[in-house]
Amino acid sequence: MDTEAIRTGKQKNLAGADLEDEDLSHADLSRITLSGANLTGANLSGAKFTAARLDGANLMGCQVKGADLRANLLGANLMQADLSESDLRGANLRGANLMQANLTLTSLAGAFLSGANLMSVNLKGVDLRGADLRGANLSNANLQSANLFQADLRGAILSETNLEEADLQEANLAGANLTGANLLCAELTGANLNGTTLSGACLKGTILDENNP
Amino acid sequence: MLEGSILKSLRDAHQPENLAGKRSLNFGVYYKNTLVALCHALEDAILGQDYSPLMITAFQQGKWYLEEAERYADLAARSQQVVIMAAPDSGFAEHPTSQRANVALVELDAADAVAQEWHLIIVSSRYTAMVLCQELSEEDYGVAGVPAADLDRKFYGLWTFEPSLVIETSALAIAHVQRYNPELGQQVAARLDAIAAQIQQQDALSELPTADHLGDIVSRVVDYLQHSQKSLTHSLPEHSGLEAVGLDYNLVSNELQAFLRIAQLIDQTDLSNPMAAAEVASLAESLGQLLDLPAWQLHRLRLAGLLHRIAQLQGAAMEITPGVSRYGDDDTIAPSCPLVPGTQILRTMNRLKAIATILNHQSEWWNGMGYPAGLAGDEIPLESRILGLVSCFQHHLAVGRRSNPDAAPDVITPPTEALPPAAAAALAAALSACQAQEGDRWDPKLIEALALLVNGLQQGLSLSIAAPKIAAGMWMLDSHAEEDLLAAKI
Repeated sequence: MDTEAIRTGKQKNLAGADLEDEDLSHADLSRITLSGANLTGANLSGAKFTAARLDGANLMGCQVKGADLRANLLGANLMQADLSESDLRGANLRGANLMQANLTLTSLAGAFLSGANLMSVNLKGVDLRGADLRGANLSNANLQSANLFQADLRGAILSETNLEEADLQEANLAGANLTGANLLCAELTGANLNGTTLSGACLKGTILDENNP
Repeated sequence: MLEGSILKSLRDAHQPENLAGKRSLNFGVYYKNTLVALCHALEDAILGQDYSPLMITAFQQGKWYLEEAERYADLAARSQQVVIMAAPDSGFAEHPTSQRANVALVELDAADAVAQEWHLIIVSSRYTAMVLCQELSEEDYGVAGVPAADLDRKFYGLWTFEPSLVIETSALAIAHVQRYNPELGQQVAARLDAIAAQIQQQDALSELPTADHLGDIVSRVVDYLQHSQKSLTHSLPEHSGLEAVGLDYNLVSNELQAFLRIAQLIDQTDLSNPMAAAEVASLAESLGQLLDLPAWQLHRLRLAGLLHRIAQLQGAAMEITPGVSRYGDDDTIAPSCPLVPGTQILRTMNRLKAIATILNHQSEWWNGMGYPAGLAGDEIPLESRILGLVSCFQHHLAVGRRSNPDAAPDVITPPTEALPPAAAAALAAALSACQAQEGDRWDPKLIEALALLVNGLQQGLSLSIAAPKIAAGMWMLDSHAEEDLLAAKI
């Protein structure tokens, strides 16, 4: 594969292309189409994917550290990818598989993660303000001191999830399953807890307000 | 939360239905070593000063007090009264510190919930501080069970410098003392009343935070927590890696909290503009978004916004005149770069170096006539330019709201609807006040972006301005926080 043509922007449509193990680090790939492409093991660190199409792409085990991924990643496979310090604000990650991905120091503010698989993922201290996490699977994930201000967690699976010290102000947790979750000292002022399952959850020092006794 | 505990009483008093005039509490999780470092720092603040405070403490068991009894002799010498609550252990009452005239012991029943709590309450007219927490119960620890190592024991609660909250809690603690010893309770209550009256009188006189040495106190807190971090590294072999990471995170989180709590206190004491930090942080971040700054820079901008008033501490910023340099001993900044003293305390925490630089230069002018370094144009770090402009804008906005209460943000207005005329006019007035200094004081590009933002706000764009959860600030600290902004430019 001629990565030079991709780097210089001559090649913009690479739907379904095979880019396994290629080095595209720090390339400007904004608006590129990589739908369904095979990028397993590729080095994409520091690359710019603004408004790119990566829907259905396979980025398993990719190095994507510090990349601008404000892109369409609908249903993408990001298993075991290193996404640390990447910018995923407003990214479309609906139905994406993020299991065992490294998401430390990322920004996922306003990202669309409905139906995404985030099981056992480490999201400690991550910015998830206003993120759409409807029906996402966050069971066993670590969301300690994460910022979930105004996040939409309706119907999300948060069983055994660590939400210690998390900021859940004005979050929508209607119908979410928080069985056995750790909410020690979490802040839930203004949160919607209609039909939320909290059995076995640790609620010590948790701030709830009058609508949610 | 345990029935009959002081933490629960305080929490109940702050439930929404009782909240009139009070803020909700901001709880956090603490490991034992974090608490030890915090308490030592807050206690040692009284050693070098003549605060002559009232101290009320709860030690769970007498043996924990005995570990600290030598230190408490020195603390008692500097205090008007020290009250120590603990379940008695052998030698507890016999220690020489316990025998001092101004030290009173309260022997808690083993069944008393307060015997599961760890409290340090320091009240004086010029310095108030407290740590108020409760240990996790066996069931709270969950499947992992109660940790074997003492260091890994976990507590939850809060610590703060807020005078009103400390006085409120003191009264609750004194009520508890009264049950065991009515005479002592009354005596301590009288002391508290006298101190509270003094604080109120001071508040009437000035708008400054109660503590005169807030900067020193915060530096000490950070210093002690960092020291604890270092000793953690030494004891690492005995600890599994994962546990050590958790303990370290907790220490760093509390270092950051020390600064956020000071910023909160500065806001609270300024009744004319009590939401400045949260509002400036949101405005700065929004402006950064308009300029398409990367996520890490927006996080940094938000943190700088939350902390921006720390630069004004000690009233020092105003004393500096251009050309009069003050040199920092920090070799990571250009030696010729003068510092605003208020920002120096931020440099005690490595991961806030970039924030310190941003705050240091927020008072520079675009034309080079500002202070402290007289930087001009693009020499001024972008975030400093943004922050300077936004805090000036917010200041004008707050002044406008004070003169016309109708201009206050209306929570009832749905976000999609245009603002009420008075609020829109206040935004326009604040913008034109800034526009008047375009090119002299402010970067024209940023004025343009601000005008765009104001336009959006007038059309009904709403910024979510919520008081931050102080214990959850770590997301704003990122890998770029240590960057040297001025060197990076050249």
